[in-house]
Amino acid sequence: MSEEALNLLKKIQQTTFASYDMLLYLDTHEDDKKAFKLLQSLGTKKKALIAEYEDKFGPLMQSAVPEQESFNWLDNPWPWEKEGNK
Amino acid sequence: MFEYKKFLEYPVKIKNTNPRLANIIITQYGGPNGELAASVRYLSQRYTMPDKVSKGLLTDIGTEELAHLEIVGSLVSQLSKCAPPEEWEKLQSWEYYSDNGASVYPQSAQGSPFNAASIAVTGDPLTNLYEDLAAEQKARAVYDNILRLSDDPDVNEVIKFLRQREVVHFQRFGEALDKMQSDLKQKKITGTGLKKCK
Ligand SMILES: [Fe+2]
Repeated sequence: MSEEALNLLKKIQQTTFASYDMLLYLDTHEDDKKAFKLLQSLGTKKKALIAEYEDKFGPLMQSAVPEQESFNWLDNPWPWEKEGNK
Repeated sequence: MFEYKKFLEYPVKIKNTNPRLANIIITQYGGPNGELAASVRYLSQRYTMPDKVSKGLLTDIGTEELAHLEIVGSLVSQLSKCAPPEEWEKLQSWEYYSDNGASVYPQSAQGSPFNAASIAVTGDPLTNLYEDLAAEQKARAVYDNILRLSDDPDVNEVIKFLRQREVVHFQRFGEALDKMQSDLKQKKITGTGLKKCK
């Protein structure tokens, strides 16, 4: 994976994690409007980052596979491999 | 249903192989307090929960535990990948190697294969949440034990992340328990699972 791909992936991991943590928080604080606003803005950011990545480097989500120009879901590396992480 | 995301929740990049450490960390893959047990426990408890907070929280934490299972699997895999038999022998981990080679098998550090006896699903919502609080503490304690046994900074960074998540999950389960107890008091839900369904 290129340095650029790894850096973008790291940002995606950070935003995805932050969103997930906010989701768990909201599960037990469902009336917290401020928290939901934050989740919404994280969601927008995450969506844009993932779209950029999938556009440039291939699918991250199974649902994005049909949007690619060719079938590249199998391209290495996979997440558990050293090469897929930074 | 579930959809796979082709990236880890937290990155794993281990420079040095260490089969001995892999054999310790494997316990959080398939051991009694590990991530597989956690995920199956929460996703199985959902079906009898009376309130929306617990239904949602068990779904969401159960899902995150699957992501943690993958992180632990990645740690074990990278720590043992391509380590030659001599290295396993030198580190006294030949028992694991003989059955599993350099792969990832759900077992405890002591070698017992994954056993669902380490989880409880009682059908009683309060009992389930108490079980979950205990489970999060046990998982956190095991990560603390691992941190005492490992001096690999690449590994410890990941273990610290997983440990911190157990603390957050404990907090959320505690909030769900408080909510359930006050709902029970106000008779908003009937909680014990002993009542006949209409
Ligand atoms: Fe947990």
